[in-house]
Parts: sequence; structure tokens; C-alpha cells
Amino acid sequence: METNKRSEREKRVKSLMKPRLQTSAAALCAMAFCFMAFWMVGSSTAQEEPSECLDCHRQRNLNSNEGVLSSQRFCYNCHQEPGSHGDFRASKVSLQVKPEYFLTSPHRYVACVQCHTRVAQSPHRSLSGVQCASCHPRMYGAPGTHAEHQRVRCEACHTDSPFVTLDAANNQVKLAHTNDKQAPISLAKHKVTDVSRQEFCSKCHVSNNQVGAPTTVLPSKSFVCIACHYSPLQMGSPVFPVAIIIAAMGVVGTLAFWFKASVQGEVASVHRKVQLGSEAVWSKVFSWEIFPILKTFFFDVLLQRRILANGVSRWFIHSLIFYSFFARFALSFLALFLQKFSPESELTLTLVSKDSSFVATFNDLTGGFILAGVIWAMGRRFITKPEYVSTQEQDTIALVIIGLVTLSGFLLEGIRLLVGQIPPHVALSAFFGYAISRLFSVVDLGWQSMYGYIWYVHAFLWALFIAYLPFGKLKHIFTTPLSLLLNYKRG
Amino acid sequence: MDGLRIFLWRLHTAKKTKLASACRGLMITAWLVLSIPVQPAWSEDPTSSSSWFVDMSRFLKSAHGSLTCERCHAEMTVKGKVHPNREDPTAMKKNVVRTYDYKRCASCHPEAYKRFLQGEHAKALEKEKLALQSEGKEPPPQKSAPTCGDCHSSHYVQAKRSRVELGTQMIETCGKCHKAQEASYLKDIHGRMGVFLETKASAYCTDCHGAHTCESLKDKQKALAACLRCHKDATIRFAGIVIHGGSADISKKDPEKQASIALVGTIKPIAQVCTIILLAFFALQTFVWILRELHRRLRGR
Amino acid sequence: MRGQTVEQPIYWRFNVLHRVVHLVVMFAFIGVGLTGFSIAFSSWGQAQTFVWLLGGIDSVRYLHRFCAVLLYLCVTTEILWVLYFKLVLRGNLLGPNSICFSRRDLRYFRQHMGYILGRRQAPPPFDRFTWWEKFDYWTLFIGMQTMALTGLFLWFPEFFSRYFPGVFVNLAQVLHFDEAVLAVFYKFFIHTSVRHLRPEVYPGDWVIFTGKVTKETMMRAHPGEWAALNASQRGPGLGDQ
Repeated sequence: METNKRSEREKRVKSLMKPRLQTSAAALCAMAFCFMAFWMVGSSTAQEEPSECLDCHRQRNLNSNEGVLSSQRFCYNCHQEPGSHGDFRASKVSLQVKPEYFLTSPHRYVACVQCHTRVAQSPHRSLSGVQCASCHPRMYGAPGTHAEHQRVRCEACHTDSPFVTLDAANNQVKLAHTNDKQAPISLAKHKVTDVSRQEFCSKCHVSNNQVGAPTTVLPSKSFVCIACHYSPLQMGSPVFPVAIIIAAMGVVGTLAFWFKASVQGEVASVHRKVQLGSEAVWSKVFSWEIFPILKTFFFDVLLQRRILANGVSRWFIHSLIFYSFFARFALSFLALFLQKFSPESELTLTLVSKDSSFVATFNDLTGGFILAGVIWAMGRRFITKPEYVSTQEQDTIALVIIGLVTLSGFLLEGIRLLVGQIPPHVALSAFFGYAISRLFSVVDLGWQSMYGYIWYVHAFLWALFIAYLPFGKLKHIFTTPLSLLLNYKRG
Repeated sequence: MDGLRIFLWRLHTAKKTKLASACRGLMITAWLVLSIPVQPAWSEDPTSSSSWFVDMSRFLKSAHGSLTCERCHAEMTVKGKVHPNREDPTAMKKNVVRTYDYKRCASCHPEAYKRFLQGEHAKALEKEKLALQSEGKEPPPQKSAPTCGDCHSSHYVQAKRSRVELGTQMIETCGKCHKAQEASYLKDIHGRMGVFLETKASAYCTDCHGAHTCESLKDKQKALAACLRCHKDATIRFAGIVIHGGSADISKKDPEKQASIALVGTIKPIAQVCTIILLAFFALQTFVWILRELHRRLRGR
Repeated sequence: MRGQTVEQPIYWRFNVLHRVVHLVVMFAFIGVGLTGFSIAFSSWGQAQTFVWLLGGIDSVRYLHRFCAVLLYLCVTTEILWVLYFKLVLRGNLLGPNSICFSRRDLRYFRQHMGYILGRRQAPPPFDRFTWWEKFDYWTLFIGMQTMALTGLFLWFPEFFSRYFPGVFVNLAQVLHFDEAVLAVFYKFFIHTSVRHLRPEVYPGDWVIFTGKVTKETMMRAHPGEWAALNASQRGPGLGDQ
């Protein structure tokens, strides 16, 4: 445009200098000639102006929509042509993007280079792939789903294209540029998937998929899983609400049983009993007695002084289980907290990912401690049998549930590492799980579909744990601290 | 809340100020509690000269800000030049940093260019060109010899940087290709002092390897000459101290250095294992001991 | 170490020289550890902050070397004391009251482990110095020699590389760091736990600062020495350290 205006202006100046006596026809011819000549001359001289380069090469302000559209225009110069292509594994892949589709996209005011970073340069190739995380923190929405799919790149699910591929070198599941038969496909629409439809899960979660996904689409973790794993605030699979209802009934039953006894002499009225009991608690909390109570809590509950008084090895067994659960709960809770308040930080991504080296090692270590504690306890109950260990059926049930939950967890981890084709340098952080995955790789029992069943076994066992809480030995998790605190003076 | 977050983020990014550095202990606690954005909304490689877009506000502030485009890109004004040339299939794949004629830099920087030509990088570049002519083979982009543009940002190069600033940026620049050397340098006392503790008395890359000559110091005499700049009493054996001691950068051509690294590599894990075993044994022993005495005390014995 | 009469319930374990040496060693050790690790871990922000607080890397290096020299002066003092003890006081360096290891310590160590694991009801009758006290003493004594040697290599690389190959400086770096980690973790955590946090001595064992112990402590912690004292009906003998 600039060139055009300038040459017209110059033409006008020149034409004024022409003799006025010439015929109109000759003048017209001359004018036409001059127009063309000065068009060409003008355009070549105009290139000496620095602004010419910057017409295209100036960096736009991508914070403004106008700058974004101008930047898109730069890319469309080539990429809206049907012939625009790239070379991908010796086949030509279309790289055409159709503006008419893209203008209907939610990303219409996002410049190409904001997602395809480091591509607008020479040599012209993508070095980093699409960058979604700079605008969309990964753990912000759908945290349950996103936490489980950390090695799946965003665009693999969120682009409306049925083909994905596992890049073994980077341990990433990516959007494919080819279909099942290795023929190139077009992504010209750049269409974002509608995630309210569940069908898009099934592009990976089908039998014999190549990306290492289990066959079944499993439900999200429940919030009760936070005792050991990072889990979102969701109810999850229906077994958990059922278990919670059973547990709640048990709690109500236990409380009702407790309040049948007399409280400070009151025998009949439950209302009066609650009133007297709560009054007693209130007067203790807001008195100097709170300090000896806190001391009791610290030594007897947190440091388990009572158990140490019973025996050093008993303290060790109980601590292996108690502190491992406690530490896992603390870490999972921290992850949940961070996911809520800092979804975009590195730390969040590390803590919610099962495969990050810290979390994998931590989980395997604590899981191993729990299992060691259970085995040690079982050994004392059934093999060495020291005379001071009294075995009750309830204890055995609790130990068996905890042991089986841990064991099924390790099996699941092993199968996941095997099925997901997690490379050894990543999988090795989960040392027990990796050993199990090597063991399972010897025989193929259809692990891909097996994963779903064992997942449900693990979930069911944990639901059983929750449901059993108020009934059996596991009650002690709450009752023992309570009675210790209530009877602190006698101790 | 947002105001506090932004304040903390500023503190975190302002690594260079001493106040921020003093606050970093507090920051770690704050980090766990408060959200701190990891990246700005959009960031581009700040030094890349091969980007198609020139950030004019930064260019005008750079050392080259007074030059016109044509001063360096004169070939674009040649008559009949088609740009961009869509007929040429290689046009898009061309690596401008490799194809640009850097002799033009010599018109303003003749001394630096002369030293560059004497150096190892220029020799490697020459070798590469010959290989390209004779065999038509191009080296992989990470292994190719650097031109001016590989190390220096032509559009955004800053003027009047301090010695520490230049030095720390130099480590990053050289480290793009010489990763193992960067890592081993940062573990060495020179790197720790120069980069992390920002002592300008320390030695940066070019202090030993020469400005723009970038010579290898495999020759002990050459290495000694470099050491002697600061260590006045150094002898030829002093030059045998391994600076770049990582296992990845053992030079195959230097058996002495290889032997040195092998010796350190055998003794180091032994020392580490002994340390860990001793500490683990005594920690566990002390822990059980304390438990046993607690148990006895609780039993009233 | 001048013994009091047996009737008084106070027993002297450390003379003023040893108390002073321990105090100096304690503070110099903390200084040398903090400055050394702030150089070794200088990629950490906390270390950079600490170096800045101390006035920059030059003053940190100076402090590190100052504390190191102080530490080694203490070691020299100890050696001089041993010579004085042996040559002037004509003391016995190998008796049951000695800080040197003897075969009996091996037996006590085994018995003590049995006590810790619950196989024995009581700890063995330790003499004047228990096995862990001897271990503390000798690890520091020997560790100081290697730390000083490797430290000198790093302090004067130009001088030492005249007589040794350059790689020895690299080796010195590795060993200096590993030994430092061992010493600092052992002294800061294990030594303090054993001497002050154990329920038997909690909240603190002040004998190294006061130099004296009561009769009860004597009977509880050093029953062997107590028995020997009562058997011979003499004042406590002259012990090393």
C-alpha cells in the first residue's frame, strides 16, 4: 500500500512537468508508461527505507487482538495454501490451516506463535511442540483426569482427531499426524474437542491400543483415597459412597451406644447427656488443662509413648504402618492443597504425578514400610508367637485388609508400569513396582484389561477399610487417641 | 492475596538483588503456601536472532540499535530479489545463522573477527564447509561449529555489561553446546565462585580459553599459561589439575586426564559409600538406643 | 584431673585445658562447617544469602581458614598434652582409664548392642571412657589430620602441585567434601543425640563444660571405673584427655 501511494504521488509530480501541448492520446500512453515505469522504480527505491522490512518483520504486540490477527496473517501467507506441507517420516503431511474454521475456534484471538512457540524462525521447524500450559494450568480444571494423564500431551485429547501415538523416546502420548495406516491426515480445522462427550476417551482406552492405556475407562479417585494418594474432591466410584454410608451408620451406632451410658450422673435424657458432655469438653479446652492435654496428644498420640512402653519392636511395627500412612496422607493433602491454590506451579505437577521420581520413590518406600509392618506383625502372631502377644480375630482382619490394599496397590503399579511402557529410567524410581512389572512381563495374562479389574479390587478393599472403620479393630485409629485424651490424668 | 503473590513473584525473579537473595529463606516457606506463577503468559527465546520478528523496542535499546536494517541485510536490496521465495524448496529450511555471511561483522569488529578466524571454532567451521562440499553432508544442528550468530544476539546484544554479567551469560552461551563442560565448570570452585557467588576475581570461559580464539587447553604448556594469569606460582603439574572433571567430557585424546578422572572416579564412590554406611549405621543405632532407653524409662525400670 | 577425696560426691573428669579445647573446637567446628558448606553448596540460594551476610566470598574463605587453623591448633594442643602427660606426669596411656581402644571395648560394644536390641537387661560396666566416647575422640582426631592435609592441598595448590601430580588436588576436593559431610553429620546429629538427647542424659550432659560428675552419674554411666575406684580405695588415676 505504501509503495502504491508513493508511486502515484511521484507520477503526479512527473506528469506536471510534461509539455502541455501534446495530444491527449499521446499523453495517455505516456502517462500509462510513466505509471508503470515509476511503479517499478518506486518499488525498488522504496526498499531502501528501513520500514519496508518491518512491515512484515516487526514483532507484534500479542497482548492486543489486532496484533494477534496481524501475526496470524503473517503465517497464513503460506499456511492457508492447500499446498502447505511438512515432511514427516518421509511422507508429506499437510500443514494447511483454514482461517474460516479457525475464526470460529475459541483460540481465534491467539496468535499461531503463542502456541507453536519457537517456530517462526529460520530454519523453519517446531522445536517445542504446542505449548498449552502457558495459558492453561494443567491442574486447574478436571484435576482427577489430568493428574492421571501427565504424560499425555494436551493436544492428544483436546484436538478433534481420532489418532494418537506413543513417543517412546520422550515417554509422551502425542497427537498423530498420520492415521492407523501411516497415511498423513489433515488437521486443517484445528478444532478443539468437546470434552463434555465421554467418547473421546475411547480413542486410547480400547483393547489392544498402542499407547499403553488400560482397556477400561476407570472412574476418578475418590476423596477418601487421600489417605495414600493425591485425589481430587470427588466422590468417585459408587463403592465409596456406599462405604461412607456404612461407616457413617457405624459411627452413629457407636455414638448412640456411648450415650446410653450415664454422663455425669445423668441417666435418662440424651439431650442432657450431650449438653453435659459438650460443656465438660468446652471447659477443658478453654482452661489451663489444655496444655497437659496437648502434651498427652503429642507424646501418646503422635509419638506413641504407650506403645513404646509395651515394647520396642511393637513400637516399630506400629510406627511402620502408622507413620507411613500419616506421611502419605500429609503429602497427598499437600498436593491437594497446592492443586487448589497453585495449580500452575512445578511443585504441584511433581506432587500429583505418580511417575515423578520423588513421589514414586516416596510411595514405594512408605508402601514397603506398611507391608513390612504387616508382615512383621503377622510373623509375631503366627510364627514366633511371643507369650505377651495376644491374637484376636479383629486384629487379624484389620491387618489382612491393610496388607491386601498395599499388595494390590503394588500389583497395580507394576501392571501400570508394564502396560504403559514407562521407560526404565522413569520407572526405576518406583523400585518395587518396577521389579513387579519385570516379573509380570514374563507372562502376558492380558494385563491391559486386567488393570481395570485389579483397580476395582484395590478400590473395593479400600472401601472395605472405610466401611469397617467404626466396627472392628480399625476403630482404634479414633477411639484410642480419644480415650487417651479423656483419661490423660490417669496416665 | 494477588498483590502479595505478585510481590513474592517479583522477589523471586529479582535474583540479582541482595535484598531478594536475603528473603529467599522466607520465600521457600511462602512457596509452599502461596501460588507463584511459573511462567509469564508468553515468552520467546530472548536472544534468538533467527526469529522472523524483531522486537523494535528492544532492538533500539541494543548495542546495534543505531544501525539500519540494510547495514547488515544488504542482500535484500539487490534488484530482482524475491522474498520470501516460495519456489525455492530449501528457503524455509535454511538455517540463517549458518548461511549468513558474517564477514560483514568484521567491518565494525575487525579485531574480534581476526581472532575468531585464528580460533578452533573457525577451523571447525572450515572443516564442516569442506565436508559439505565433498560429501554433501550437513552436521546435525547441535553438533555444528558456531558462527558469530550462534553465540551473539545480533538484534538484542546489550552494550556495557559488567564482568560478572558477561561471565554468567557466557557460561550459558558456551553451555548450549558444551553442556558437560558447563556442568563440570559449575561444580568446580571457579564456577561456584564466579557464577553462584558472583566474584569477578574468578575465571570465566574466555579467561582461560581465550577471547574469540576458543582454544583447547589439552596442551599442558598452553594450559599453564592460562593458569599463570592468576596463579603466579603455578608449575607444569599445576596445569594437571582437572577443571572439567565430569565423566561425560573425558577427552579421548588425553590419556593423562582420562587416568586422572578414572582415579577420582574410583575413589569418590568408595568414599561416598563409606560415609553413607557409617552415618546410616550410627543414626539407626542411636535411634534404637534412644527407643530402648525410653521404653525402659516408661516401664519404670 | 586432680582427684578429690572419695567421700565427696564429686568426681573430676576433665581438666580446664580439655574444657577450653572442647569449647574452642565446638565453635570453630560450627564455623568451619557453615562456611565450608556455604561454599560447597553455593548453587543454593540460602548459601548465597549466607555468604552475602558474612560479607562476601572473600571473608567466608578467610573465616573458613581461620576456624580451620584454630581447630588444628587444638589438635596440636592435645598432642602436646599427651606428651606432657606421658613424659612429665609419667601417666599410663594404656590402662583401663585410657582413651585408647582396648580389647575390652570390643566386648563392651557387643554387649551394648545386645542391650540396645533388648537381649540384655543392663548396659555393660563401662570404664572411664565408653566405646562411643573413644569413637568420638578418635574420629575427630584422625579426621582432623585428613581434613588438614586435604585442606592444605586446596589452600596452597601451587605449592603442593610442585611435588604431587595435579590430580591430587582434585582428590583432595573429593575427600575434603566427603569427610566434611561425615564429620558434620556425625558431630551435629549423632554426637549431640547420644550426649544430650538420650533419655538417660536428657536434657543435657554438662560434664564437658563443668568437668565434674556426681556419684550417681559415676555409678550409672561408668560402673567399671566406680568399682575400680572403690576396690583400690584411691583417688581416680590420671586419665588421658
